[in-house]
Amino acid sequence: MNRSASRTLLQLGALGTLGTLAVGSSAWAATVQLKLEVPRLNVAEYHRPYIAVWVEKAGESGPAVAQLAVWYDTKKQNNAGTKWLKDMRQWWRQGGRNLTVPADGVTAATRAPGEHAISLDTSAALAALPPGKYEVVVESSREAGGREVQRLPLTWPVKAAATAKAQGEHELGALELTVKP
Amino acid sequence: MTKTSIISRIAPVALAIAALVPLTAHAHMTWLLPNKAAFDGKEPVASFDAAVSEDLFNFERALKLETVRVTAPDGKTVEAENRSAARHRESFDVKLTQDGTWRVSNVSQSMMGAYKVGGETKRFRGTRESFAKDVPADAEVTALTVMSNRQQTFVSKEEAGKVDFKPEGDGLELLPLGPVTDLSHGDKTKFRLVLDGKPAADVQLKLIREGNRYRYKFGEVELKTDAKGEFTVEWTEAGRYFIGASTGPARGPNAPTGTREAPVQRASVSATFEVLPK
Repeated sequence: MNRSASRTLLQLGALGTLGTLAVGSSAWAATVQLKLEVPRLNVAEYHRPYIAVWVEKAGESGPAVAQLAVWYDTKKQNNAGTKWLKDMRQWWRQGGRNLTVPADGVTAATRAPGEHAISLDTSAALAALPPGKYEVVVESSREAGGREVQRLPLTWPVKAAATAKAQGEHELGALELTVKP
Repeated sequence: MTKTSIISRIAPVALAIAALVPLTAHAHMTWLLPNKAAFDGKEPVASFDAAVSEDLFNFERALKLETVRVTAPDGKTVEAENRSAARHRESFDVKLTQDGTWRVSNVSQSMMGAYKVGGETKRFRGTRESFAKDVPADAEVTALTVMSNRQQTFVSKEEAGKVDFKPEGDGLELLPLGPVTDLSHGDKTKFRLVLDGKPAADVQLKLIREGNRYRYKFGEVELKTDAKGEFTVEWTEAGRYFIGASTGPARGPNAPTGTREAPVQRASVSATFEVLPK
């Protein structure tokens, strides 16, 4: 192989990488799923936890660069359930306070104990992220209960299939973030 | 050789050492503490307690409130409400009408000394005004110290915002160079210490987390201001904290006593902060 040929190949290779990049950055091309376990707790007074899922840049403590999910008491009249949103303290101070709720595709009702899956394939906020290393942050806060924050690494856009796991200790159960290009 | 002879030889040395070592660790701390640091809502009311104690933050003795200064986020001063004095603490409320960080200080000045009237030495303790009234103008003042004391704390409504307080200008004070009301453990905060409005370099400070009553170690952290009067605090654990500092000539047998024309100047400051788990 002569020099010019190898150069052409290199250029082709570069083009190929760029091509995947372009595809990977559009949301519908990648599968992003977060499995989230709300633990069953044996306590006298149980209320379903408020849970927030957002994205922060890795290695920086906030602010939120994408809001992925916020579960709160949506059934109360006059949006009264928003009163306790600030009890998810990290979420609140990292940008949650600026989120107008209810927010389409982000906010939802609280969930019962058990395993839940959040599909983020169509998340516009995630799709808009510039390439880089991120952390998906999950915070749970329960009335008359505790609070817990867990983090899962995420490289965006998704170039390779990966699974990140974290185990909550008291207010969160098993967490699993699965990505596929 | 008997025990007594050793003790009798050691005792004077021990006494001399005891006199040299400042008893900072067991000194009483004066503090001003809000019921919490970060507030939300339309018009939240922050409540403050002022007390003197060795255990943080248990009320032991009421701190007599003198000049209470409340600086709103826009720099204007507002009045404290519901001032009350109880057996073990004094209290007041502040209505937080603006978003941002509020500064709350209690400032007092005291004078103490001794003077001679007709060969008899009398002790004096009071204020500038009572000094002028109680000490005869022709009396020989043999010792005089002017002490400026300040207790500070900070609260905020909604976002802490930009924290940029101008010095109040009298005595020692802490100027936070960033938000101090929405702290999480692991955060770091930079401060500037100023004396009469000017940076106070090379001043020792102590940082103590609350709850020393419930642990064996006092856990005091020694800090020192740099040439610009600045220092950084790392909030390693959640809890409420006390920062204290004082300036003035070293105490001890050789400390200056001060005169009527040139009294010894001392100043002290304390500030409280709240840190929540991340």
